[in-house]
Amino acid sequence: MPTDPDLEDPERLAAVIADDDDSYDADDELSPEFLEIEVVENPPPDEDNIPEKVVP
Amino acid sequence: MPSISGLNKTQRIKCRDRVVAAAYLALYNKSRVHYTRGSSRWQGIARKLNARKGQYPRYADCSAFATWCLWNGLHLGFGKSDTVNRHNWRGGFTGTMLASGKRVHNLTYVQRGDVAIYGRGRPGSHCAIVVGRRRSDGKIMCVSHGSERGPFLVPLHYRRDLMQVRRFI
Repeated sequence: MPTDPDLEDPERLAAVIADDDDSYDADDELSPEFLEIEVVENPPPDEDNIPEKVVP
Repeated sequence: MPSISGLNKTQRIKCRDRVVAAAYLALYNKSRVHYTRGSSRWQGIARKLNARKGQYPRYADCSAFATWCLWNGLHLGFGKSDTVNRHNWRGGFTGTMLASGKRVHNLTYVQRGDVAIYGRGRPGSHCAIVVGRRRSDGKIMCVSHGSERGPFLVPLHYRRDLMQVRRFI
């Protein structure tokens, strides 16, 4: 079941989905240059990112 | 509905192109892109490193890397302010990303340049930049820089703790 408040109301859900539809970006296939890069299904564990003071 | 960035359709496509090109450049030069959680993680933006000129950060963590990619598209491409972390392109992490942009609720509509945020609740612990769909199976692919051996090209669901995908373009 949806837990997001936006998804509990059918009308709001429809609006949310419509808003998500960025169909203008038709070219979402992986760019050809990526095809030569190995896909890593199980990379090493990720470090956790941390809040940091803003760089002056 | 207006976009988060205020860019029009054509501009958004060009912006996404630049974001993906930045991610690709770093991925292609992965041996020179190190992982750090220190202040040098923001050097990509602080030093105004332009992927179009072949420039990329030597140090970054996951959120600084994703932000640098988006900065290439939004700021270098169109002079846009920081819609990613709302820190004037000077900082941020998954917590500030979760407070900015908008959530893509339906993963069917995930687009290039969106950011996948992982973790077991706020403020999140990791993020990766979406770069496209794999032709063979339609899987959404991301570039993730979460360790010294990265960045890696990974499927969106390479971790089990995907919290949400957010859009900043």
